[in-house]
Amino acid sequence: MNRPVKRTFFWMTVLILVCLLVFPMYIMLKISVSAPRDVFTQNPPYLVRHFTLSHFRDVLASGSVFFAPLSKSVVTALGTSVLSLLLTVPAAYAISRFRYRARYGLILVIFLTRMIPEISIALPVSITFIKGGLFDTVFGLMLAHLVRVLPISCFILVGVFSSFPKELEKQALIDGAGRLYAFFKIVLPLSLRGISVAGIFSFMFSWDEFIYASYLTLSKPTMPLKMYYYISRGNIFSSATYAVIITIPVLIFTFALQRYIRPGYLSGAMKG
Amino acid sequence: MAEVKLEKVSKKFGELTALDQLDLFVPEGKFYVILGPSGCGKSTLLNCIAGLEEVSAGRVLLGCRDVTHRPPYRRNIAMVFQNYALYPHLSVYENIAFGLRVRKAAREEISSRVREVSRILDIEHKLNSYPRELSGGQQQRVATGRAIVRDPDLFLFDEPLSNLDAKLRIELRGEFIKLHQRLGKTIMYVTHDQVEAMSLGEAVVVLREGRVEQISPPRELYHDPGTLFVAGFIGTPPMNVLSMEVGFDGGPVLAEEGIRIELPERFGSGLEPYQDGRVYFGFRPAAARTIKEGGQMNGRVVYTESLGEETYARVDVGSEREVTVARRGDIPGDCAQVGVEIDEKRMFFFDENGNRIKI
Ligand SMILES: Nc1ncnc2c1ncn2[C@@H]1O[C@H](COP(=O)(O)OP(=O)(O)OP(=O)(O)O)[C@@H](O)[C@H]1O
Ligand SMILES: [Mg+2]
Repeated sequence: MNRPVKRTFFWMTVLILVCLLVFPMYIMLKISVSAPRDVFTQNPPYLVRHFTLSHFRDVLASGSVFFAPLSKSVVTALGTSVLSLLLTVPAAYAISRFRYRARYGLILVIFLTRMIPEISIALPVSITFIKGGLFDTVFGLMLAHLVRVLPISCFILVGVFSSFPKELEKQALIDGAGRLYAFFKIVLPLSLRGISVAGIFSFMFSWDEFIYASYLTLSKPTMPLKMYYYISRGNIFSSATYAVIITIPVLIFTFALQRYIRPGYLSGAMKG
Repeated sequence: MAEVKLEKVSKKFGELTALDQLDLFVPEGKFYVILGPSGCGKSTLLNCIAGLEEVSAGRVLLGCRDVTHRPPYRRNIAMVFQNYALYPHLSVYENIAFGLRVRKAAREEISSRVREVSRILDIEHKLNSYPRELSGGQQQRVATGRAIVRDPDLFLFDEPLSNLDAKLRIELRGEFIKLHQRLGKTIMYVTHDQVEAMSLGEAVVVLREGRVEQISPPRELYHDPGTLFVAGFIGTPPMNVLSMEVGFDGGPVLAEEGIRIELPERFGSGLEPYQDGRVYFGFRPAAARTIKEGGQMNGRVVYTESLGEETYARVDVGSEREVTVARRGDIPGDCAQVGVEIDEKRMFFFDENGNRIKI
């Protein structure tokens, strides 16, 4: 194949994939801003004929029915990411200072916890949580989410710290710093981007997590549970609206991440 | 109190022995250059002295203190790495001040010290810049400034100039000498550039495969090498070395496939033990010259090259052996048949293990 044909083929493939990914999201957005008569017809149109914000107005006007799940989701997701960083930053830093072989082995062990499908351990976990008084609490849900989040966060951070230039750390030791001082003054500030990537991943995981939330919740649902509630009731306008609201922070963070995962932020440290 | 003493220091990385029972003594206030080919253990040596690597065996002494098992921050050593390792998120001022802040020095003291150092190194106008905004030479100065600001007992430099261009290198070389005179502190300076080593050091430590091969003042290293390795490593163009058989035919004679070199009578006693054996015969290009005819060897000029002042001729002396010889102006050019006259006082002989045979 010559080059123009190849290029066309490449871009066609990209276009098709993008359409496949974006189309359902478009439908979701479309339903959330369409009047019911646009949706409940034999042949629903692809474009918005009768634009309305009434579904959003309804959801926002529902008061604590909407804001309680929202705040629970936000608090849980923020708490999960903060807790996961507090635990995995020191752990990953320590692991990254092991020899290569040991490092690899440790990461494998950490990922062992992910071998069991959560659908099968969610029940024993929730029984334990009931006994521990953690059922239907924000803190309990955070703990459950940490089970899933810690290995990934640790994995990301081991990569971040392993690629940190060792000479900078050595230089700090030479300058008279102890290991802790060197970590807080040199390693940590220069690894902030990597650390925020891990934090945002944790946030996003917790934000749309469903299985643990449904096992560990009775009266105080999170956003995904609330959305599921509307779906099971057949209220597709409310569920589409919730879906849009859940998606927005994910989109924002994904774009933010893209900016963060960029090489070159250590330029100027090393010569040669 | 800042002499450095290493006693039988070994460093192993798994199977690999980077330092092999190395003994070294650097007297207080001296400028010692560590010289050796890539991978011979120069950086490892500095790392062990600084405490960045734990030694596998042996003792490291600073002054009278045994620091073998002390962490770096309890050794009061400054070290400058080849790539400078400046903190990219800190300004030049903060980079230099870092070591003082660690020690919780007072604000005014930090400020006055940083300014003094930056004045000495001529980087005062860059104090608010960040490392990425500096030229290579300026980055080097900041790294040096960070080392001298906190008044350490010992300075370690690991190829600090190897990332700079030739002109800047010579300029900064001079500054290192001045800095040493001014501070009067012990300095160990690693390089694999022999010209740098010869021009900087009060003594040069030649390292080979984790062992000290020779410690001598630079001139002695050149004029009186202890081993074939040192002889071959020091000097550009390198020393000519020929493996020859020792015979006696009236006087001592070196012979090898058509080459026959008659040596003066007085070399006889020194070479006697090697009769009918082999020795390495060496002479520096500058200790020999091409003449029209005669001399100890003769051959055909393959090419000539000019290295500034001197012009050297590459001469094929038979059996695919070529030697480099200083050329004199009145001698014909390429392909000419010439004689090679070697200064008898500057001939070197080494046994088959590469050790010098003193004549
Ligand atoms: N951390 C390490 N792990 C394993 N081997 C190492 C380590 N550091 C050094 N070595 C090995 O030890 C030997 C000496 O290395 P060193 O860095 O001291 O050489 P060098 O003389 O400084 O070389 P160069 O001139 O290239 O900087 C080399 O063979 C190197 O591969
Ligand atoms: Mg090195």
